[in-house]
Amino acid sequence: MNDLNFTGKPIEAREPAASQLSINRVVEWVKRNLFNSWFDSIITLLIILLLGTVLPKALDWLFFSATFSGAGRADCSPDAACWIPIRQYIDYYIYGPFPESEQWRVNSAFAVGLFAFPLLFTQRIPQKIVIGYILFLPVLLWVLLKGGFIFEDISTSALGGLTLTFFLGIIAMCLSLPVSILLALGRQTKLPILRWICVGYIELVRCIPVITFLFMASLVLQLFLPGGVSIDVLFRVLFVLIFVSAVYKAEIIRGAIQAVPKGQIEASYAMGCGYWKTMAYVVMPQALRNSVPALISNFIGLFKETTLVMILGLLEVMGAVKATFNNAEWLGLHAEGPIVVSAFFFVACFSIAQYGAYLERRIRRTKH
Amino acid sequence: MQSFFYNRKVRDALIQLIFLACVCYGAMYLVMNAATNMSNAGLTSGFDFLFQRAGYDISYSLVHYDPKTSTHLMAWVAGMVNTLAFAVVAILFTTVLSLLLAVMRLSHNFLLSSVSLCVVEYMRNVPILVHITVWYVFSLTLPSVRQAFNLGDVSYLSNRGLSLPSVVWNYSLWPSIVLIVLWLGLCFLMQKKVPSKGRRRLLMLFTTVILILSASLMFSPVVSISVPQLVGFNFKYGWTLPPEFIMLIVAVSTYSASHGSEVIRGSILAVSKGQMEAGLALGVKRNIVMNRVIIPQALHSIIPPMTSIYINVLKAAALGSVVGFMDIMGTMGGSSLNITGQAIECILIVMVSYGFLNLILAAVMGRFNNAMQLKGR
Repeated sequence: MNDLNFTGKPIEAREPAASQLSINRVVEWVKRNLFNSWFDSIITLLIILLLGTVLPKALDWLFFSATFSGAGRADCSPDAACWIPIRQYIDYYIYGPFPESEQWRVNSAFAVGLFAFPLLFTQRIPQKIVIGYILFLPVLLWVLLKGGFIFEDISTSALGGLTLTFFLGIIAMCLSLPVSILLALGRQTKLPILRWICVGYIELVRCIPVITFLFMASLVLQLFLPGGVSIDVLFRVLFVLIFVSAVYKAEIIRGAIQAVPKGQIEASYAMGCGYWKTMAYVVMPQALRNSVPALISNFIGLFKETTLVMILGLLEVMGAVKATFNNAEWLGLHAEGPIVVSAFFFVACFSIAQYGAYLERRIRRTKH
Repeated sequence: MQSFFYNRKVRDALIQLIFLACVCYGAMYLVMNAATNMSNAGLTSGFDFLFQRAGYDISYSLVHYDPKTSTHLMAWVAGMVNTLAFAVVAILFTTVLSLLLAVMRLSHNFLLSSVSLCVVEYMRNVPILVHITVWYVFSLTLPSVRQAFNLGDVSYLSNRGLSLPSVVWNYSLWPSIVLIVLWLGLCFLMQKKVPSKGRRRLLMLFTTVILILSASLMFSPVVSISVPQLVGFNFKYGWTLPPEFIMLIVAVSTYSASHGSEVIRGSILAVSKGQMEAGLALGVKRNIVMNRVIIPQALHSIIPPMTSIYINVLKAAALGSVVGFMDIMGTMGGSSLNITGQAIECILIVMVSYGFLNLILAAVMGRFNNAMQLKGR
């Protein structure tokens, strides 16, 4: 607790007077930030020692001694990473078993889906259009990736890899949004039965692992349907993801609704607007705009959660990587697969998180 | 007639009735379907299967479980105990780790805070399932029993797991239970009779020490500590935790700690800087200001989000099925379900169990939250 971010020094002492970079300033910085006290110095030296021993070895294993190109297992160096299978299967990780002639559809789906992020950024485009786009996106993705309308149908088993992760993540995100708004409103309504049902649903789903619901969708759902009816596993998984993540989003939106000043709602009622008009034109535009950063971090959680569908045998990006390393040729390479998957998720989620943090800062700026 | 439907109360009641009717109809429809489907498949609903022989093995169980004789009920108990053990240990580690990471992150030391930043950002941006896989792969690289890492001659880490010394009771538990009851009774009496808090604490400490002393005298041959030893191809004695249990705990607690550290850091930074400066201006030492001024104020905004992190830790026990650690989801929701085919009952039991555990956790944290809340607000 000794060295927390409170210096306790007067402000002039904290900011060195010299304006240009000089050796003195560097020395001063090192002294202040690395060797402030004897305890600090010990910690700094320990960390340098640790990094000095671990980092070269890790870098050597990952890059310098690693094998990047080659034809087969025989080319792999024995005690370093072997990235040959990754390069060999990179198309499979991205597109899965999607038919090769139709891969432009996947590419355009990526483009259409990622376009939603810059759309959240611009403030000039009216909110109606953004919301319309978000609600239209699932339909677009479904048509592009699964078929329908003028496109050829693609079977569920042909969806895999990053395509499937993306498909599940974006569609579940977009469709759970309206559900969560209804749940959030239901939780706050004055009608007691409606409120109890919503509260009960939210609390129930929150205390049970997603994996239980996924198992339910794969094993138990069949029992509840009339005989002969069977639902595609993709639908079932999506259903679970939508109705589970809607609960967490509902809590976010509820918080944002509560943050809207009560006077505004009363003013709206006084002007003669009804409940729905008040919600649609006064409360929701503000609540939704303020909950965008939290919703983005919720999206990161959902995106990470899509890996769970691997347990049901759907080969999303992690399942696809695992499957290739179960190949007889690459059997025994354990570490490379998880490293690649974690690198992918880190890059994807970290950049989305930074984007969300930026939006949050901007919202805070405009508020004050 | 029209004004009747425009009446506020009537309309509210009607909307709710229609909604309730829809929900009830949906539930009835599903239940009827399930009933016909089950009768078609020749299954009878009910919980009789709980008393049948389970017949499958649980890789690691803290309670006695024999695949040949134990029932499904026993399998559920084993799963429940596994979940609880996992949750307690993982929550403990999560708390300690998130505190550590938060303190590191808030540190003056540039290197220390950047190390913490990198670790936290890596851990929170990678899915938990990938973490579990990474640690599972790591557990595959652990040395065999003969080359096990020796941790101070009392514990060993190998590919069979972590072997720890354990406490062995060579005698029945009754005397100790009697002692504990005696101690609790004494505490209760003191609570009632001794008014002064300070004197009560002193008395309680005194009696506790006496009880422990007498207990250690009475039970010294009864309680012994068993240290793991390498015998043949495995560790005997002591207490061996399987690698999947340890790796699951490590993966889940590091993942949740990365979220927890952000919560703690945010709450500490949210306490206004002036508080620290005022404390320092009064001549109080920095760590005392921290412990007496900053942390108590931060704590009441730390506990609610921490509770939801703890609930996530508890729920993550279900992911153990990926690496072969069986909690309720693995026993009741996995093997029992597959063997008996009583899918609805099994899933119902799993849900109720998780709900129950979460309720307990939420209640404990709620009490803690109430105790920590700033008074006089």
